[in-house]
Amino acid sequence: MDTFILEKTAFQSFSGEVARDYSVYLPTFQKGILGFNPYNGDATALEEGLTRHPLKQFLLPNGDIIVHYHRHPQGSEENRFSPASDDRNIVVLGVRPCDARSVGLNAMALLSDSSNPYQDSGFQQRRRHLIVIGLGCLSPCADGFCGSVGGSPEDETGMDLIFFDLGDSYLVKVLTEKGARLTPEKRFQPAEAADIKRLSDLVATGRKTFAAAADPKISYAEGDINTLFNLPLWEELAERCLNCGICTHLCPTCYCFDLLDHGNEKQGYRFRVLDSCMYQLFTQHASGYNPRKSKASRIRQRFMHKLRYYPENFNQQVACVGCGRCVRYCPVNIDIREVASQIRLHSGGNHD
Amino acid sequence: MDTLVAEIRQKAEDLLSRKVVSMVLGFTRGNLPMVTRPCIVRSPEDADLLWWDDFCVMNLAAFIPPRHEGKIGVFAKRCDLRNLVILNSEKKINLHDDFYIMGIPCHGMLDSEKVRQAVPGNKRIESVTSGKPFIEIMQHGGSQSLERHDMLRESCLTCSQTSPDIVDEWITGPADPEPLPHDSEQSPVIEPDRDAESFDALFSECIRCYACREACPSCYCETCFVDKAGYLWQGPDIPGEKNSLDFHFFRAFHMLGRCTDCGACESACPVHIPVRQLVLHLKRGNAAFQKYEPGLNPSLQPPDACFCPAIHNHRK
Repeated sequence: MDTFILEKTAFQSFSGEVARDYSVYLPTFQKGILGFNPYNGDATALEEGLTRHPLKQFLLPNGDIIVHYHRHPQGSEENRFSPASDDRNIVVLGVRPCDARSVGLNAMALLSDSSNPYQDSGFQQRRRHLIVIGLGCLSPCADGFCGSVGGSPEDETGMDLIFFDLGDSYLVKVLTEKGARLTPEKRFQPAEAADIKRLSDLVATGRKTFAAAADPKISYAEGDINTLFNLPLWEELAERCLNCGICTHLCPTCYCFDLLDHGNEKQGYRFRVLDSCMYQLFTQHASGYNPRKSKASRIRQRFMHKLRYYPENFNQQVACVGCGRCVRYCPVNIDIREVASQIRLHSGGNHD
Repeated sequence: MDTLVAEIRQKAEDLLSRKVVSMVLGFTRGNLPMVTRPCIVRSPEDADLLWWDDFCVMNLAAFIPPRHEGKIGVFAKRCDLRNLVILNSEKKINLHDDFYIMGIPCHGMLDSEKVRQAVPGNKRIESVTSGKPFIEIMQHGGSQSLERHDMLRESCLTCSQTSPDIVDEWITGPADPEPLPHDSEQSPVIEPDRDAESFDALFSECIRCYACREACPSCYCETCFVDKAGYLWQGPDIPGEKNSLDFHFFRAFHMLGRCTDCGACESACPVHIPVRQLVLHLKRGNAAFQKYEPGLNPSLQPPDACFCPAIHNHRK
């Protein structure tokens, strides 16, 4: 695919141009928090690193209305169910490789294929209308460990275009057809061999300083399921785990949700909110019985889902992209890397 | 090594090997800079796990194990002490029979987010060395000093620096040798005549992770009111809007007279919501509560716990 150069001085006008046809979101600070905010012509904070909230807000928005219902007073023929749809064309700029990788991981569970009969139509529709413009990481980020989970700082998975910061310009690689739609612009100059050489030099230097490469591997927790299930580790973690939902809410690959109805017998809507396996209510039955009553069982669920159940079902891929949000924002410093190595230690699983 | 840490470890080892306590509640080191882990040590050999630095921001009173035999030793800072008093007066724990309290002289805990914001760009912080009046931030390829006082948590800036008289012994001396310069009262974040819109703005970032609730020692309801009704407690506004005000308002009313302003909620919050401010706002607007400092005097009842607090407390 094509490779271009976009001068940094032209970046602002490029975003403005794109914003004419698409809803553009890019990293800016709001209330001191870096997040994907609507483009409004202000200065961007592309180089500031990872946004606080993951990319999933564009694919699995919290409070997503699924269907409106309206009951006609006269008879059932007039009752209406209108599925809500979101067909905004969204461009998200400055998505880091870890976040972009989460799109594909979530898609394995949420989109149907030969091995998965289930289709999340909201996710599918939004994914079709989403253009992801990535930004490769050339220097180590504050908290990430993408190298531990099979990603890398210059991974292109899940992106339509990727930008690399060359100092005074961006090297832009076109990765998909969707991405190609944004580049025939006059501001893009074809990249020359020297530019590509410059990028590979930067990548090579960056690699040397990347602590991510040295991190222990987080791998599929094979081994006897009963052993894993009954590890003393879960009770140990429960002693300090607050059982809050920070890790799940900030995780790019946590997609569990709850369906709720709002309205009355005449009209209303059904919507979904992101749920968290850390919450008591997550598995509470209507009878009052709760199969995951203890804190330890809920912690176990979170890690077993990421490291065992998910890879077991989907190509042996752990449901983690190594963005490091859960580690950084955990008030009691629970670290998935540690949990994974503890599991390996106790279960006699693979040791690579 | 820090003399405070050495003393903590020695004390824990001593108490555990003499079987004065069956377990010790304290902090251990995190695997990242600027973060610590509450931990329980059960054998004298593990006493070396214990740690203390400027980032022991969680309130240990929230980490008391539900089941225990024998006494629990607690290395508690001033706010932890006050919350233990509250738990005791609310009959959640038996302070006299089940606890051995070791007070830690506290110089205020630091806000890791303030430190990160003081270090520009997207750089990995390798370590933070405490000190007064400056702390040292080590990064790849350099270090810099920051004034410690500027990095203090908001709650520590207004700490009354007094503690209830429940301490069995103090670690390194009886109390804080040199009191911190502190503001007696911060200017209110919430103005008295706030309208609903500006309240909304304060809490608009809330992601309903409930870390504030979980980090709070006084939030111990087995089932929180918001967990009674799933997400529906939020009312009809939820799609497209993050309406979390109901939760924060209710919680603030539950906290009035029971909040020690320890700041654990704000330290736990991943999106920097000024969680403490609602309770402070209620307190400011309520004459009976203005002078009442929860958890400081074990024999004093909170104004709303008796029919006529003025008379009641006068008789005491």
